[in-house]
Amino acid sequence: MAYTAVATDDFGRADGGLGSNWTTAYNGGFLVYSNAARSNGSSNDACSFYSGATFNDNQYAKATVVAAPVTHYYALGVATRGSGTRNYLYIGLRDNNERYLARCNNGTSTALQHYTGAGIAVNDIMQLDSDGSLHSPFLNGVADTSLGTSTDSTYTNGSPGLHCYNGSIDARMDDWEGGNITTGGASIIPILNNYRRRRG
Amino acid sequence: MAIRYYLMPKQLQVVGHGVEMDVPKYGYGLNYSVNDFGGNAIACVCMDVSDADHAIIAAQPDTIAVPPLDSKLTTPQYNRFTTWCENRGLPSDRFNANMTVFQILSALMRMFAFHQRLNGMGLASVGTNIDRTIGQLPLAMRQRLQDAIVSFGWDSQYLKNNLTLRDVCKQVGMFNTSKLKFGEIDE
Repeated sequence: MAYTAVATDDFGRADGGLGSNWTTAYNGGFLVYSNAARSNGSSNDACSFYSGATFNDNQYAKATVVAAPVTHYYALGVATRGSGTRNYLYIGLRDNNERYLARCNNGTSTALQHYTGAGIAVNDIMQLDSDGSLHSPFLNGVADTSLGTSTDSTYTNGSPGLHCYNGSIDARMDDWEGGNITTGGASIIPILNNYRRRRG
Repeated sequence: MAIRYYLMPKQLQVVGHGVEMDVPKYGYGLNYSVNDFGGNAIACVCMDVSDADHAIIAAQPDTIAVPPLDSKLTTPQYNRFTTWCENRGLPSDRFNANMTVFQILSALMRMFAFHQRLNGMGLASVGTNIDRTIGQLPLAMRQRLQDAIVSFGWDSQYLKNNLTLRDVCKQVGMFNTSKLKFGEIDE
């Protein structure tokens, strides 16, 4: 597998909207705040995807957590194949020690993978690959095998971006990158996959 | 703890701190993987469960606890499974009693994949009357079926009016040979 970055954003600009390269999927999406991206503080989920470039169907999104308060209810992460009001998302909660890989459709998410044991923390780099029907989370550059890869065929295309739930204005991400997965397929073995089974 | 598979409903639930998600109806606080039947409120769920949790989940009348992957279903288990499928719009004649549980789940999820794509295209469900012919379906539904078939790269001439929904759901699942990862299933 090889990655080709198509777009990056360090949000190093004045507080306010993300700008013309970004599209709000719903609930106000994300804003620039203190040279990072934060939710608009909506009580519901929010998503913004990068619309200033064209991405292949097989794509990834990654970003760094720069603020993850324990005193607010939130879930923060990255998204792929965003279009209209739907996308795949990889989010983590700090105070609940949970991570999810989910599919969002018009603001309603379906959990595809769930892991309880650790959430996310400041400086964590979250990445989600969508390659064919496989959706693979990475944490700090390493396959997030605790959460595991999901197989889902719902969406075929769209743009990478950011996603959050109940976003506290103190939960922020930075150094976002979106791009194409140019060769091969994901080869992540979920934690549940202790051994392979072939057709019997 | 052990890895176990279930066929169960999914439902909207507030999880974590105020995060609302469609999750497995039972055991949603555990570690799990979900592969769902498109916009229909049922899913195949792989969970890491204790014996105590398993006993509770397996006892639910709307849930099927799936036997080990290498095994074959007993006659009562097979009959319950095929009835479960037919009642939910899944063609049970895609399966036979000689298949291993692994083969059954694999075939089931390849049918699920088609319905996921339909859901992504705005058709949440084809309904439970799968003996309707394509020619009997509303034009919009026929178009979604066609779009989904083409999106997988399959033959655009496949969809004929005399086919039934049962034929289509069964056969497109058989066409689907893409990579599948789900719990211990990796093929």
